[in-house]
Amino acid sequence: MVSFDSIAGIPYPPGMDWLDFNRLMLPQGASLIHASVVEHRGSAVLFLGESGTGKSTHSRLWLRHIPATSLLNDDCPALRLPHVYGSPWSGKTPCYRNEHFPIKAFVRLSQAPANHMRRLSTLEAFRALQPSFAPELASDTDLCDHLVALISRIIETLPVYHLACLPNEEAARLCHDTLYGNTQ
Amino acid sequence: MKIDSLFKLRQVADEWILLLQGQAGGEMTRVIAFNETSVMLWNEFHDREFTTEEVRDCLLGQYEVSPEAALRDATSWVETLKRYGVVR
Repeated sequence: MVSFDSIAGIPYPPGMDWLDFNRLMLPQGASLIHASVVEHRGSAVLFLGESGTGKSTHSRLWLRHIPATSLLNDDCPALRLPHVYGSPWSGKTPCYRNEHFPIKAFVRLSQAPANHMRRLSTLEAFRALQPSFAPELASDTDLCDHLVALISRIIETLPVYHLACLPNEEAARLCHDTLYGNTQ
Repeated sequence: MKIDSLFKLRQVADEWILLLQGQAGGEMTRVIAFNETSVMLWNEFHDREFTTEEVRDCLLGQYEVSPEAALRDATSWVETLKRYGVVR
């Protein structure tokens, strides 16, 4: 059993609700994010998207087809740039790793009849990232400002992509090769 | 007319964007990008009653443009904000 005394370096009061903990994290420059995260050769890729777009499915495609890949969290990891942290919340897949890795990229997924990946502009990246944070946070002006500042720092320091994809091996390979180069 | 105080202008990386704050979820994703002139006008008028003529005069004070061109730009700025529900 993995215990979480702290998450993203912030002391975690045992049993605290994830949304309350997120409110506590934001003024310290950290946040939870709705994402499935894989670790690959020492860095992490966050897959974003509405529920049902295939975040977990895409992570599983990486685990199956891309060597040296592991799952860090399948639902609700924590961000504290430049790292992403495992958490006690991992959705349907039990995966509670109290570890962190530097972030390689954020990838917003959508289902499509063909695989296509491209890097997003600032405005596109904002629209891609913002829905992945808890909507309840937007109702508080101060928290919302902290959240916008965090999203701004993400866009300034890390690449944000859109991957239109099928649930197949080629999609995982396209994503891997775009982020890490074709060097398996 | 007046700008709805729920809209906040925020800098995100290299862009200025207008956010609808205090709303749950997807509402905030309707993001409006602002250029330098719009940011200047926003800072001047976001917290008080104003008219299109005042916007025109503000543009005339900042840029070397004809009164006709300034009125056209002022009208366009106000109409755009009205269309997005920012100005009432």
